[in-house]
Amino acid sequence: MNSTTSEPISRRRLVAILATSSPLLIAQRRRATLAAKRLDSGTLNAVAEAVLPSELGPQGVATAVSAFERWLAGYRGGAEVLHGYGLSEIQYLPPSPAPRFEANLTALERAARTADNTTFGQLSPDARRSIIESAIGPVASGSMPSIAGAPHVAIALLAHWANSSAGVDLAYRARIGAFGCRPLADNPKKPARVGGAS
Amino acid sequence: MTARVVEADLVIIGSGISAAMVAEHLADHYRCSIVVVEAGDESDPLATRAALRRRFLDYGESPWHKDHLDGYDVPGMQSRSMQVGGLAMHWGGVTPRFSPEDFRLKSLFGVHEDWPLSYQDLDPFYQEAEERIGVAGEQGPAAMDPREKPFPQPALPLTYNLGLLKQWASNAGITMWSQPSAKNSVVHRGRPPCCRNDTCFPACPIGAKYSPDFTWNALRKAGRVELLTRTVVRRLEVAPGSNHIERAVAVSRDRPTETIELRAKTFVVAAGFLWSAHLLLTSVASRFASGLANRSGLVGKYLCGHRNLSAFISLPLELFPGLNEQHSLVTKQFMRPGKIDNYIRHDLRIWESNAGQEPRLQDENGRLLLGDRFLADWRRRTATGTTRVRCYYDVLPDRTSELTLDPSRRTPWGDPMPTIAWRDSQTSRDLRPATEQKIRDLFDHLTKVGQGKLLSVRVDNFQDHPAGGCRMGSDPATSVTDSWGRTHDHENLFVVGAPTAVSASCANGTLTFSALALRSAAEIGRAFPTRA
Repeated sequence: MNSTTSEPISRRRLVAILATSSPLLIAQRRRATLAAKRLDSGTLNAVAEAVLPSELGPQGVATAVSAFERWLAGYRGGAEVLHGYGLSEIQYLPPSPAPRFEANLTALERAARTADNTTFGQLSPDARRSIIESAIGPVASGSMPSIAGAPHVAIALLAHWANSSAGVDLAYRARIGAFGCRPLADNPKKPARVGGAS
Repeated sequence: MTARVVEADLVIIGSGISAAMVAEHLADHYRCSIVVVEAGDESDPLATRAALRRRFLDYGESPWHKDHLDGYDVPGMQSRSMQVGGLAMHWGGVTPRFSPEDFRLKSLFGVHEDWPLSYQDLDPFYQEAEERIGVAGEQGPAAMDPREKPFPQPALPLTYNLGLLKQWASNAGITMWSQPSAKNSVVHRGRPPCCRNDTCFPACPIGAKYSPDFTWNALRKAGRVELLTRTVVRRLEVAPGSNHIERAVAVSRDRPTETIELRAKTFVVAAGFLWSAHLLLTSVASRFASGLANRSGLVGKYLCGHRNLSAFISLPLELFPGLNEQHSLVTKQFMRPGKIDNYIRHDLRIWESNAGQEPRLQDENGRLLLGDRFLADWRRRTATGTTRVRCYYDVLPDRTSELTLDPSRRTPWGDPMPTIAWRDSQTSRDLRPATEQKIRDLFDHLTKVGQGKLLSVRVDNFQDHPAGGCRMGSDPATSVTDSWGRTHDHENLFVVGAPTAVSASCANGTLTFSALALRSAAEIGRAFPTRA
């Protein structure tokens, strides 16, 4: 930057600029984009059938998987995170989890081949869940992790769905429609039951 | 170094909500040229806000990534605000008034100071602010919530959840009503009514919540103000041999080698509690060694805010969190204590919540929950409702609750950075245990009446809705400005909004800061011819 044409920048800012435009980061981002594209939809769908509630049905599972894939494709490592209420410290998103998730799916396929000489998707849901549980191992906490911070793609997928308005509605068995545009006049009404009368 | 000169009748420094109120009032009623100077960038336009909000919901990204300047980090600053529209670009839009007692603390309770104006003096300006901003509100009981005229918009209707919670509060002997909010319940100035997108903080995607960019867009479109962005005012200067402010000296972030001289009849500092006092302190001159408007030595002193205790209470009610989580019930029942031994005041607000009902990965036995087990566990825990309750309580500031200059840290332009220290007055320090115990007792009472379970109680130590630093008063020895925001030392220099507050009540402050700014505008306007 030319100091005669723009404001002076601090060392910290300079480091941040260099960090976000370094060849290493650019390569990291490219690898994440490719990994997100390469994520095997078939295996991911088979994971979803095992970890999402069966009430979703095939259509609901497919919708959840597509939404998760879109989420992963849209992830921007290094983007500025909202400073929480009453706070001013600026933080940034960690690198994309896509390469990690891709490796998780590859490992699940490998485990299926080792166990039954078949593909992960051809295993029964119970057998898939068993492999997934082994792959996840002991979890540090009962709380749902953030999607990007999930230790395994199966948990990330579950967290993404549970975070969605559809997930909340199914849990409460009600058409809450959180974060959607809903008429103010409906405020006092008890939300309608999902799949039935209010 | 070259110098560019900008001349106007009025120069406003800062473009937050107080600046917007002043500019719009003056542009509506007086013939005067107005230049507004903002250090930050343009805020992202409304048309982009839905997409930015989506990324916030999906990834936690900031919708306001341009709300700060590099090199302007101040520990304790509470939030980022440097952009067109200031902090009110990402406020929650909550607009209670202070109560009449707030302005007479010394007379009524023998603590702190009286303000140099009364609630009645401010009432018409509260009304004006509510009309300009567009406030939807429910009239509370007149004894608790006095006002001369009705709210400009009907109240936001209570959700199903809040309806049940209002009954619960009533059973506990507490009268609550719909929180007044700067969120349209009807179309207002071309902006649509709220449709419960529920991200008022940090960003309303449809413009139902007021933010100052709407005012600036309208004023600029009508050619009534000129707004200079990316322009940092470094100091104000007095004319030789007088106390008259002659010019503001600024630097363009795009052309740092060029000085900008802003010349005007009247200068208005509207840069919030932090940067307003900072500008006065850095405006040092031979006759003003401790900065401008600082004969009292009180510029930067008596920074004020309020703390809060909050709790989550589980109740045997069927609630549906997500209907409108950011809207709440409010009461002023505990803000009007009457004759008391101890000065303890607080508000109370109640929200829907999903605390304790979130989905989880493990059950109590450490078993991993996937698939149907996951959903069954989640559903089991949604069977009872949860509410969030919170009380802001008064914190009276000590003189040493202050902003000072730190010569060891410099802005990119070489000026000393501010540093902040929050300190309670001795009165508040002494009262803190009893105050917090009273609030804990209230939470216990609510829990018992609701036959519920108190899940957790939290004390937030930061001081919310910060204000002060240029407090108003009648005596130049103990205050920085008069009741109109005019500095005692410089007849053509005003400080408006939050910095002039004498105390911070126990309720959100933005509407009060806006009303104070409009009252200042009425006085500032007397220097200019009125519009026909």
